[in-house]
Amino acid sequence: MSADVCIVGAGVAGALAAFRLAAGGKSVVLLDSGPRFEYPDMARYERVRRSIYPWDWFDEDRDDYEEEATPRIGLNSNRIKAIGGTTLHWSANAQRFQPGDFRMRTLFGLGADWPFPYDELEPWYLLAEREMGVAGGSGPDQPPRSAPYPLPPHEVSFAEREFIVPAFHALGLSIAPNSTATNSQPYDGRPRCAAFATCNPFCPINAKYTATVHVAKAEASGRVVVKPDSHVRRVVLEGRRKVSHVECVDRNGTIWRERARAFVLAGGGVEIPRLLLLSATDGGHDQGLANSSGLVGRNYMTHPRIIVRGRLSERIGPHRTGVDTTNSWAVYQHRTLPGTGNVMLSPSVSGGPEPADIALESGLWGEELVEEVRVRYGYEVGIHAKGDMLPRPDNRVTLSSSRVDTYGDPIPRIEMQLGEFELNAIDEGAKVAEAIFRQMNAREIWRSNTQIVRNHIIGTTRMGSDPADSVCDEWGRCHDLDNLFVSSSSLFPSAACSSPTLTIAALALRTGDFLVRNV
Amino acid sequence: MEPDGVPGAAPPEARIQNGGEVMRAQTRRGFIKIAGLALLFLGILAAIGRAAVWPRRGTIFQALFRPPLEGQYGALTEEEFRQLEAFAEIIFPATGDPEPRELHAVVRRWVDDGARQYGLLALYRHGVRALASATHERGFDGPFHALPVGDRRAAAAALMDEEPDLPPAAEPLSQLLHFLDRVLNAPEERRRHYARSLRADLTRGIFSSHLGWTLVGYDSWPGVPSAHLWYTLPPPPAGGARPGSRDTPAVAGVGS
Repeated sequence: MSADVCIVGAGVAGALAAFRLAAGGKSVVLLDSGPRFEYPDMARYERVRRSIYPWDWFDEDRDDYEEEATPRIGLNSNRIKAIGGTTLHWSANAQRFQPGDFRMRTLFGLGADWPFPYDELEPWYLLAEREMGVAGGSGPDQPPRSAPYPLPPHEVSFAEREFIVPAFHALGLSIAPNSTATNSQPYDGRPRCAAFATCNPFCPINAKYTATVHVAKAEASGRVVVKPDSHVRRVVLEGRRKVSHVECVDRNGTIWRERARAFVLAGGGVEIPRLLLLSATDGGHDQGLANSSGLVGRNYMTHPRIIVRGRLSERIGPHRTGVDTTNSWAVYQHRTLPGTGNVMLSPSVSGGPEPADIALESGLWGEELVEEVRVRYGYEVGIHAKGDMLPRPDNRVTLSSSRVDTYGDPIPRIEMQLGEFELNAIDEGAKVAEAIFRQMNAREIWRSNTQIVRNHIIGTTRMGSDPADSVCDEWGRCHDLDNLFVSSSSLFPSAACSSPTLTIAALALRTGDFLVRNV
Repeated sequence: MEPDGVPGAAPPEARIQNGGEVMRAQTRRGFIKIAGLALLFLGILAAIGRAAVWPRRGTIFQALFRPPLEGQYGALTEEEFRQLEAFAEIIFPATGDPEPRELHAVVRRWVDDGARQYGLLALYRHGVRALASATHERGFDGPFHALPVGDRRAAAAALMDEEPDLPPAAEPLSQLLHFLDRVLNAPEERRRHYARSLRADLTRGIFSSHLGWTLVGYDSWPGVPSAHLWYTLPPPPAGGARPGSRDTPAVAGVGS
């Protein structure tokens, strides 16, 4: 036995589960299909300045996929297969779900309930916020909490304080400090945010949390071995209910087995169901491992979104910080359900063109060019209307019937369509955002097409109390297998409107704690 | 003994004569067949060509006449640096002190990184050549970097003409003529392509640097210490100085 626990996927879920297990005295092998990037890496930052994307994170053959989705999913445009996972370029929004999100079936007859209420997860939210260093502040309509945020909120930006917040209030809408895993004060050996608006895709000074923080802490414990470039092709059983090992292969084609007492799949909402489907075997698992419910890969959810933008009549000073300092839960109160879904309204003051963009677009030279940049820069602001999505079995991850990856395994195929529920919700949210812009006397107001937040992949191995209606139990353990766990947003029975990372982190810590006590 | 041949057939001479006509007729038919087949073949080829090649003429043109901007790594010469700095000066008119020195430093760092690390040597090298040839063609004496700013701008502006609009798709002849015109003027188009790309690259470099951000009042970027809360202040008037710190009014419902 090489380790107590083998974790497949070194993103935020895998890193925090490994950290918790190591703290509990367990030995862990942490595998990831991708490489280990140096982080932060200023050579990569130079690439950002040149509008060259910094990560060479996906392998065209290994990470190929098919999709039949509207809007387009563009899987490889956002997920990162690497140590640290997609947090290597995330926006650090660290919001909790609302209590009502955990009881959508009971309260509104929609979707599915979580196997436990919000109160059960609340202490784990708190722990996740402490581990990640979440800055935030209390405000109306936010989810309840039992203790303050570990870090005070970022000071509200000029644009939000002078324009956006008054407009919300004039319309009777609440708005509060955003909660973000970016240090508002020095924390956990990392500096405070320097407000240079250079957060994306990564923070050059490490003020923004990434899962590499907990990968490093886990390794430093001496109990965790991290193995990048370790692609898992199959989960292999020993008997009907027990996993014996996973089959791994590296870039050079070297094949090996990782044995452990328990296994945690933490590779995200596409690769986890894919691996379970690829691992189909005899003995009641011929439709894929852990798939007696038939729900592995089904109920794919994400967050539909419309971005409303406006040009104000006064300069608002965007791009001073990459942190969005406010957030509104006003229309995320489950008051319009079941007819119309919830929407989170998130002001974004740094979405407009930068000086270089204006200069490039102008086509002017010299003094005229400089004057154009001076005059045009700094008036645009955006409000994101991000909506809930219902689980539908036909939105799903399956295996391609015609294409294989570099190892000869069928690539994932994703089918996803938004329904009236989602489209109506974000349309209503966008109308509220437009009213806010009118309140700000915006000179121009326009909205984006309907989008999805591409790296939010939810529901494809959902948890629940009933094995006939869920893949995993309340601890993330597969109903059909005694020692196989899932740690991912693929566990969520509902999508909610909040960004999923904090909830992924809370569940990972909770599952890690369960494994400490039971392995 | 029956005469040679088939009973009742024409005599040999006549047959030879008739055979000649038959052969000629057969040859004509064969020729017509072959010509028909050839025409059909050419028609098919033309159809395939039209379907497969014509819609891709832009790509084919690019492959033949536009060498890629990226993929060549190496160091620029001092002369090339000077030309590029001179080009940058007509994009961003740095004045006073230390702006011109900062502009040169920004450009040197930008193009040096670009040439060595990002494979943009060909862009810079061909861009410099395009500027030199435009300078020569307009009758200016001396190298590009030695010209007064006005002459430099005139020489560079000559390279920035946009490509003419494509004729409507419903006018195939116009499209063909347009394409032939492009082929004939490919060297000129290639020069414009390099010059426009060079301008875009340097503009990106200058305006994403401290110079560009200072222009809009952001002296806290990219690295002034202790400026971490300046984003909470109103932006300065365009081109104006930053106002001093001020009391920030509390906003109901928003903690700070």
